Amino acid sequence: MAEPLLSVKNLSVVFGKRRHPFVAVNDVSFDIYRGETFGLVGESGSGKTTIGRAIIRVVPTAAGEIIFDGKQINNKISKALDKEVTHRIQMIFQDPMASLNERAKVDYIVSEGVYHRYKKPEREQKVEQALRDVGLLPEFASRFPHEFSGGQRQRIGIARALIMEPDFIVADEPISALDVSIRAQVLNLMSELQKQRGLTYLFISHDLSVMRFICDRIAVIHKGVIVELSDTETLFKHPLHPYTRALLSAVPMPDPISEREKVLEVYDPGQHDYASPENKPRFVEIEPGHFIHGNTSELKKYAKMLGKDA
Amino acid sequence: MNEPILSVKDLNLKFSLRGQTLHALRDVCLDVYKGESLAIVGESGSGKSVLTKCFLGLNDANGYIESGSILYEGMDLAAFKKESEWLKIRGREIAMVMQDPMTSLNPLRTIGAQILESINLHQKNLTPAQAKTKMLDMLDQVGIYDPEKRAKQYPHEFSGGMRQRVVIAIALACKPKILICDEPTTALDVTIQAQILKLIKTLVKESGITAIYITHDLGVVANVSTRIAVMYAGDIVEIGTSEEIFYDPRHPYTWALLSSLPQLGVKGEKLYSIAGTQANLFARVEGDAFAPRNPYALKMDYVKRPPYFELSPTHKARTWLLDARAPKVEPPEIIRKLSRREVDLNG
Ligand SMILES: Nc1ncnc2c1ncn2[C@@H]1O[C@H](COP(=O)(O)OP(=O)(O)OP(=O)(O)O)[C@@H](O)[C@H]1O
Ligand SMILES: Nc1ncnc2c1ncn2[C@@H]1O[C@H](COP(=O)(O)OP(=O)(O)OP(=O)(O)O)[C@@H](O)[C@H]1O
Ligand SMILES: [Mg+2]
Ligand SMILES: [Mg+2]
Repeated sequence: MAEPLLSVKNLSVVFGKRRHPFVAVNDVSFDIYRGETFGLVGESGSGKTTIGRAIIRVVPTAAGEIIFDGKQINNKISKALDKEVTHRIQMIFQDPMASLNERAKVDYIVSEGVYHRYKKPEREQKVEQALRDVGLLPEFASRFPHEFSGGQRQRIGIARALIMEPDFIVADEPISALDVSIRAQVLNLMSELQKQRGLTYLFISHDLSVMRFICDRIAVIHKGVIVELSDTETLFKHPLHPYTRALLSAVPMPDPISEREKVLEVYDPGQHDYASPENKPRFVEIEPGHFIHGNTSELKKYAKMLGKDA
Repeated sequence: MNEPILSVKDLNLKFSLRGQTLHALRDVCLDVYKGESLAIVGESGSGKSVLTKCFLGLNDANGYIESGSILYEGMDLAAFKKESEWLKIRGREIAMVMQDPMTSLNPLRTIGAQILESINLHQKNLTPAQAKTKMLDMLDQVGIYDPEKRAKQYPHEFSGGMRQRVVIAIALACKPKILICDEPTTALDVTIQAQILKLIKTLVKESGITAIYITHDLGVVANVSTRIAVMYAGDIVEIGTSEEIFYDPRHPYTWALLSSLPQLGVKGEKLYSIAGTQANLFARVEGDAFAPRNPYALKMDYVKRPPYFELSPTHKARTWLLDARAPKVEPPEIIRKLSRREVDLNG
């Protein structure tokens, strides 16, 4: 395959004081190729946002490398590269209320990143277009964020990222605050922009039904560790890791009868025996493009599930 | 069904905004029955939050109830004027879990202190030790590991989903009669979501709490609700039991809403999405507010607002398509597939 646009290698992020370190992201590796949508799914608190924040350089990394378009962008970098990266990588935030400046009007919020790039009439046009792109009325430009519903605020955040014309977008739960109809619009819009502008996405979500629809490949993360990674269809058809299987069993379906009869697969992290050195888990490619986290005996079992002998 | 615990009649709410008026709720009527789990769904901006905030007097100061009533325990909440009147209702009688967890937590106080405050406010006879045990229990109940340690942390040290669970813990600590959950689980992953919904469902069953869920996720709705109200442009356009709404929806907006679910989408193809822009609530709405976006709209829909047509004692919809004079219209194929129960995740 082509060169990855973004490469994350053995990334760790640690929070807290030296005496009580908390490893939020633990030795995570993945590549994202130009033009693809790479999904990151996992339970709340598993480190998804933290990975996104490490990529946009607002969270320091404890170990590992983040390489964007051939250049390392974590740790200290030159001013010029910092400026380049700030333009080329944008993040759409999870919490629409906390991420918008409450005292600024929408036109300023949306155009802030390009305030010096375009002069007045052009800037207004760009704001208008960005608002239309996300399904908002251009008249909204003169209103304040608190005058919008939750979903409308989220769309302002998306308009704000789009106007920068980035080539890589970290979309952190960009649609979870949106109602399904706008959700569909935004998903279609993201796909369209991707085709037109060759955008690459890191799509963070906890909703596998959305991810199945939009992602080319998906990484499943649990407590800071990627437990499974593969192309989307393989993950849905042959999930191997018990956590992936639990996630799939919990996807809500728009059908009251089957929802009532639904049997949840419960994931018990205690089922893994990783204590002794010979049982240490590894992250291996069990079939082409399908990566899985497990110790030797688990890997044997997973291979069997795929109908192969290891 | 039993008596309504809360009854909304012809409610009209407006916001004044720099000389303009936004008509956010347009003649809303709704009975909420004791012990039921009612879901309110509808597009962003349709008035779901504004409607339920009326039950708590929590709408912004520029909003005012122009007409209508909200009856609860012999009181008309729509006529409440003073903060002191609301204080008797809020949290104690009716509690709300907000859409935006960050705004309902104090960033400067520990999570434990904030839950304790709520417990102490509503159960005054507990000793400090009992209150603390209860607080740790609540954290545990909403699936926060290591509650002892977590209780000492501040909101910014929690992930989005963990903050949401704390907010749920706080609301439950008050033991309210009506629990309103505004997008309670959008920030949660599906496994935790399933846990929380189960938790709320259990509480509803055991303590007879009446639950009102506001959500965008019709999958979630299928799981928790016994009844569903569909809102569009400040009005309830269809209401019915869960089965009626999923297997026999009648309003074209409900069809559109169901059709845009990603669970029903086909990869590589566009997801169904509703054409056009949202109704402009600053202007007077003529006829059916959904008409300009409705591929099935009749001439009548642009002229006159449709009344409710009753389909069963529990099911009614506001669309001229149900009038005896209207041409017969089949719902879209995707909706018929849903009624035949032919959707599945890998299909
Ligand atoms: N600034 C911080 N200081 C200390 N701990 C933090 C900080 N930010 C995040 N954490 C912790 O790191 C872990 C991962 O958090 P993160 O926000 O990345 O989770 P997430 O996967 O995005 O979850 P969610 O789906 O709930 O948004 C959590 O345990 C969280 O408490
Ligand atoms: N303080 C305010 N001033 C002016 N308009 C407001 C105010 N608060 C809400 N509105 C408007 O009232 C309408 C209903 O908003 P509401 O928050 O109830 O939507 P919602 O259905 O909850 O949407 P979402 O799903 O996005 O949360 C929207 O058009 C919104 O812009
Ligand atoms: Mg997050
Ligand atoms: Mg709302």
